[in-house]
Amino acid sequence: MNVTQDMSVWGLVSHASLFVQLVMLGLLLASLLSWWYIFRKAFVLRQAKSDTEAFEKDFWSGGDLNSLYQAAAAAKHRAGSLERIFEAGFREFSKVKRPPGADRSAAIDGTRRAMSATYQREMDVLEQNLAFLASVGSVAPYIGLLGTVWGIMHAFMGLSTVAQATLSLVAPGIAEALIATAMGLFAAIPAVLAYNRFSHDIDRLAVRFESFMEEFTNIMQRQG
Amino acid sequence: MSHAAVRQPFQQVREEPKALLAGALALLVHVVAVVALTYGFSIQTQRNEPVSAELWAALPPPAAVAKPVPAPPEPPPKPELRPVPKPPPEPKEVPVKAPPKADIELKAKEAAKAKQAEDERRRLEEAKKREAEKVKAQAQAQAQADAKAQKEALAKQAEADRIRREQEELGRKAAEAAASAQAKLMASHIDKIRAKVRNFIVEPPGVPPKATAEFDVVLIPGGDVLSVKLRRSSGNALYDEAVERAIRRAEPLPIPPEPQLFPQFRTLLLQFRPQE
Repeated sequence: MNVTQDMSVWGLVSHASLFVQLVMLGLLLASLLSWWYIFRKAFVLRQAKSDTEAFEKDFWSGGDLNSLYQAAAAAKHRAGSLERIFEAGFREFSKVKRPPGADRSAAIDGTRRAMSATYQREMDVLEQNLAFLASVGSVAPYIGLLGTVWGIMHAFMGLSTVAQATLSLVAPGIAEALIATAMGLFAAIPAVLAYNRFSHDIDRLAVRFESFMEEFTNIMQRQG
Repeated sequence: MSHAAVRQPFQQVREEPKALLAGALALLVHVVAVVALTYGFSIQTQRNEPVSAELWAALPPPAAVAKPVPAPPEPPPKPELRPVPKPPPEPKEVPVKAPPKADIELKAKEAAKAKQAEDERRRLEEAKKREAEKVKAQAQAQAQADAKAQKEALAKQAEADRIRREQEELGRKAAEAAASAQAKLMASHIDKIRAKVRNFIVEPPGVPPKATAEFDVVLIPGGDVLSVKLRRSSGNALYDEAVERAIRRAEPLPIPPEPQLFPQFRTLLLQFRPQE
């Protein structure tokens, strides 16, 4: 074996066997994707939080519900989640309200259903890609371990052909195999952290949405 | 309920203005991680080479290593400082041979006239003879001077020869001194080599202590062994083999680091004796 082994990271990666290299490539892609989702999600959630705060402030400042609805309906694609929920509920309520003398509880039920449907959709959008982060966080270490085990197997197989086994014969193989584990952990740790953080944030948003729905239903009931 | 009242879920496509920024940030995170990893590793890869040291009771003096370059022969003794060779003893002026004695008795017997004439003739003859003698003496002197000059030249030549011989002698002595210094150095290095090899010898039992194994060892620069040949067996094949193995295992053999000394260490004759 070559005595002057290139012990830099690149040297180790380029010396690794094809399977280990494929594992490393997969882990690199997973890491890139998960970081991309992490940043996207962070931006989206921050936006959702500020939108929600802004809408709650508007809503509870005692403004006209009709004008709020108009504004929400006009800028639907830019509206925040809470705004959409409000818009869906208010629209349903105003539609059901039209025939005079209709059953009030039926109108309230319709409003609730419309709001909860929008709520589900909003939650779906917010939770989008979180599953990917969870997968990367739980599976990437195993994939890295697989690459490592494979690489170490190779190192020891190469060892079986030489008469005198020295540490310097196995060490490069083990080092390059361990890079796979390192990459797996590198991909997994941020993914797990981000997943926990984001699901916590989303839970808090969901609580806010649900309480808003309850309060809005009360207002509708009082009005109707 | 009118159709317009039904909300289409796909209307919900909403803009996400920061998706591209998020992608750029994700890339940035990886680039930073890779750069940090690369630099972190490259710092750690500067391994310290293990230092090997050998301990010797008597080290060859380092000066001796530099010496083997044969000292420039002493400047040849300047001829003008040499005692000027004594000129050979001046050849004594060879006396001009005395002219033959005039035959006076004859003159007396003869008549005065005849005697006179005879005298006259003789005188003339004598003068002539003298003249001839003179010329001859001159020639002789000339020849003698020539011989003297030649002798002097010969002496000078002999002197020069002597000086040259002396110089040669001196040069040879210097060369001999250098050679002996080198031989000493070589011997000390060979001792080192043998000591190192001896560390690796696993002696088989029952080798007579007087048994000597001789090996011709060919080295390459750096001290690695190119070939080992048994020149004279110790009489014990096991011991021969043990020594040969030891020579191989002892490489690189401790030869002097100076490349100009290597030629003397290219082929070595090493002797080994058990329990030395």
